[in-house]
Amino acid sequence: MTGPPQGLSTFLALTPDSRHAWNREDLASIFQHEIHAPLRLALGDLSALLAHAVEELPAGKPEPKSIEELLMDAAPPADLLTLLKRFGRRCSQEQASALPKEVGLALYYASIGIARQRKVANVSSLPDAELIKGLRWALSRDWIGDQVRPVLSAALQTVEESTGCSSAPL
Amino acid sequence: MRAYLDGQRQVPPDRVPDLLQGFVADKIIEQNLIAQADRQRGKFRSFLLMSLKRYVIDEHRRREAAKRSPEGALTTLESAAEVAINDEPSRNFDLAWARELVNETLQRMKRECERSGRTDLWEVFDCRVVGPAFLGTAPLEYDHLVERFGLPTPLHASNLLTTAKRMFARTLRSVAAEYADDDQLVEEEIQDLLAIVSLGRA
Repeated sequence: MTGPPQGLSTFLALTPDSRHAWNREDLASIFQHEIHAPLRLALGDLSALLAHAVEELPAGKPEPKSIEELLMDAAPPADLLTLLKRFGRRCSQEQASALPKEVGLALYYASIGIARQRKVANVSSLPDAELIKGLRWALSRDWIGDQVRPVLSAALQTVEESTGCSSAPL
Repeated sequence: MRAYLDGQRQVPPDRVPDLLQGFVADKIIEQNLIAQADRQRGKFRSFLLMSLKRYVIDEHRRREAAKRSPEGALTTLESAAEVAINDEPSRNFDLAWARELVNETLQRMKRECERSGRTDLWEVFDCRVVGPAFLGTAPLEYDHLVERFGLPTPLHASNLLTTAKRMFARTLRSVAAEYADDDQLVEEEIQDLLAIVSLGRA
């Protein structure tokens, strides 16, 4: 190693379990990569539970191959949405989570919003006001891809209408 | 030691090599300075720096006394005191030590990655962490990271980075352990390192 280490203090600020710093473009790439990755790999250590939930799918119900497919499903299985919600919440809360906190939070609100919009029961008891706030936050992220954005917008509209809230500009 | 001497305003640059050579020859070799270090009384780094400071002051006094000037004698005391309390060179010494510690850690980590067939760990650490911190290069973008290492999900990317960071931290501890021979001193060395680079804004 030659030359002066200009960023030595920044360099050493990392701890083994600290989150890695990603920029906005990287967040967009990570989000896209995550929703297109094979579903059985994308949920980390929830994969075993996911495999079990897939086995329990009704006959003829195809297994979603990715998170995106799950979010686009007109009748998404409650167990899979619940696992996605758990994964998203964990990533948004744990100090040493694998995904950036923002990406985890977006997945968390997406899973609950879509469950609410498509009338899938028993996924979350999150109050409507918090869900609206969360969906608005997710839609304000410019790294949310064009495929997922309309789905989140529709979910937000459904929740707002059910509560009598008017849609505010994002 | 050179970093310390380079930072001493009272030491002309052309005197640095002679002082360094004299300290090594007179103190370290002839008086067997290292054997005098007492592990119970603190860090070897501090002991070495204190010995060097004393040597510089003694040399300064000796040279001034040789001039046999009453006016110079007063200057000698003032200058000697200034040498003793001016801690900027000490920070240079500490910073040089910190850089050496980190450089040694990085070199060992790289060798260990090559030896164990985990060059991916070194490469991902190098292009995401080391290059940006030391060379000011832009970190490898996530898309390119995924393509280069064939990562199927973001979790795999995260695991790779986390493993590399843990390996760096583990190697840093093992290098620091060579400066300190018990766990508490190792921890102190690492805390010193963080404090030094924080103060030095390196």
